Amino acid sequence: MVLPRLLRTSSFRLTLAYAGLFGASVFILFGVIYWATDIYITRSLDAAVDSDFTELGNSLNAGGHALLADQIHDRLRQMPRGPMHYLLQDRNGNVIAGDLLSLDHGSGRFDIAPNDRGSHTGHEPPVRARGAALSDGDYLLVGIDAHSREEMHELILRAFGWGSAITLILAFGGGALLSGGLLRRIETINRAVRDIMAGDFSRRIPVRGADDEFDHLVTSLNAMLDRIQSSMESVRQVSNDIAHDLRTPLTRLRQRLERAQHRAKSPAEWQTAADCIAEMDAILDTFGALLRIAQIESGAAACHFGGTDLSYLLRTIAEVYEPMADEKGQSFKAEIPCSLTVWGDRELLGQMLANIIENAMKHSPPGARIGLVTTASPTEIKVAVTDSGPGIPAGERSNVFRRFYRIESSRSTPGSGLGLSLVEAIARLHQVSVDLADNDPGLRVTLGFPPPGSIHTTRPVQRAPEPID
Amino acid sequence: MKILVIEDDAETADYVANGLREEGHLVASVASGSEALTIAMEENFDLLIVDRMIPGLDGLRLVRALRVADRDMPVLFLTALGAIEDRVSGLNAGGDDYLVKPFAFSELAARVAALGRRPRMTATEVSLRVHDLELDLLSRTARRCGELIDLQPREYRLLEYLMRHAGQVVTRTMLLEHVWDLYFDPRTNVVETHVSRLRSKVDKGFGPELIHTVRGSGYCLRGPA
Repeated sequence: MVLPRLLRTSSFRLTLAYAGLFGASVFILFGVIYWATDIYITRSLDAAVDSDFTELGNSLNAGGHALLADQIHDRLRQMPRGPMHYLLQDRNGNVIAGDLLSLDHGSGRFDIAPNDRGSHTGHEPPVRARGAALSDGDYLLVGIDAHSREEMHELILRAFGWGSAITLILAFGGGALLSGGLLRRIETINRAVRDIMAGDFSRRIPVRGADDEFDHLVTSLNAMLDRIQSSMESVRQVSNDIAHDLRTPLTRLRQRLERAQHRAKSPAEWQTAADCIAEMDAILDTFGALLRIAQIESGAAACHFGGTDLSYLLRTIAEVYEPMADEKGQSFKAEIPCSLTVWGDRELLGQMLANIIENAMKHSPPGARIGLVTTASPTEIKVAVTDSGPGIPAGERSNVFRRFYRIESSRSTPGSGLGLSLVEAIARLHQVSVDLADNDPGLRVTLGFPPPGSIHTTRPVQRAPEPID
Repeated sequence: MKILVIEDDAETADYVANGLREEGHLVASVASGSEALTIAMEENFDLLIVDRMIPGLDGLRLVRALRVADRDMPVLFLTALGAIEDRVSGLNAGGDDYLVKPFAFSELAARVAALGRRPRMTATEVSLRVHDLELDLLSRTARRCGELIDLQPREYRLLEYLMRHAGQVVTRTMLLEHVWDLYFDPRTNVVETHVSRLRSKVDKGFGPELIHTVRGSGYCLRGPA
């Protein structure tokens, strides 16, 4: 597939246009040369014919037809192979003297084709001639072999042929070379960018050192990547700081509550402490989910991505949730093909799928149908989670991924409003598309996994440096 | 069990140590990694509870150093670092379990108990028995009072895990991690559903109840006292 790709490059198209332009110039140039040379040679042939014609005219004036015929015989005897040719014929077309066929040539200057001149070998050149009727009605024609002009024509045409061929070869070869070079450099950038997207954030695009536009572009890209990486690291740092500075006092707080519960002197006290702990755990859940979303969005988790058995994961998830649906009086149907593999983190993918399924089950009434349908094609693996619940109005669909967003109708059901934000963060990290559609009735959430191998890095991914504790 | 707690926050260290003492364990606690390394090399502990962010030698390096020195006592990381890659690196360094702060003490106690009596996987072990419930590890079948109980594969694994930790409390997250290999906290009561299904097969219609719910903690499979 290298050649068609080469043909599609903009530099190759440019080359093609240049080749066309050069070809046209070469064509015009040779045309002009051809035309000018033709005029020049024809003129010199005509000059030679004219001088002989004038001489013979003088002979005619001096000695009449007899002398003219003698002169013609003499000249043909001296130079039987040309270059001069003559024809003297009477008004009835009978040849009096000369070596050309009697033809009705008319007067003026013209060319006689080899066939019309009475060719013997077939290799004679055409003749450039001048004919004129004499005063007594006879006709005199003087001609000269035009092979110099023929040779020149041939030479020019051959030169034109070679010239065009070389121009085209140079144009295409140069174009391919140029495009190939550009393509290689772009491919280098592409490969680096793909590796970076796959989680190798320390990767940089190599600079060639030629200080050309490409190097400038690559330098800018690398500077951009540095900025992104440093902001990602600062997100990570902030997460770690939050983890440390907030989790430690929260840990103490929870411990004190547990202790208070332990030492409770009455059931009422015990219950108060238990309620506080439950409230605290709800806060910690939200806090944990926010932190987790931030960590996922920083992309650090992509460092330990690996081939994940999606079929097995889906079967596990289906097994875990099927009895739950049963308990709620909902039907649960799973269609999972065997041996599907995707690139990612099993834990995160599991959480994403669980969140979507829990969402479907939570918002659907008893009797609803929950589906987990997976279809695989060579280009994509699609996992659809369907329910027959109330669905999400079309206008609300893009909002549900927003943090803490809850649609009006679901405010009474418990939940933090972070479940789908987490789904979106995990999906984006895995380059998985999330599509919400009407299941008529209900909601259909479709996850589109990229084909296995497409986000596979070409080289082993480096592990992220461990956080400094 | 003889347990070493490595934790630099004094209040948390006290809380963990006292709580575990109440559970009947023998607990020592230190506040720095280097100190912990010295003690752990000199004395034999049954379990280490390690904070990752401690002064001196950090938790990961401490555990690596111990593993290099062939100290193979179980290690439980108890840490504020809760990202996936943090848990992965903790387990890769040689940790056996990973619990993120803030934690419920009951969760810690259950995990400590599970680590303390890690099942010795021996070839001779062919069955588990609790009271009149018997699990045949070869044919992967369960019988109660000699009567065959029809179990789904996952129900079997759930029961096996409960029986291997008979008499101990196992939490919902422990079940999710070990039976289903899922590492997240579901918002719904999935685990309860699975346990109640298992209970209806194992306990219903038989003698005394074996699968008990421990309020606020998890489950415990044990025979009648």
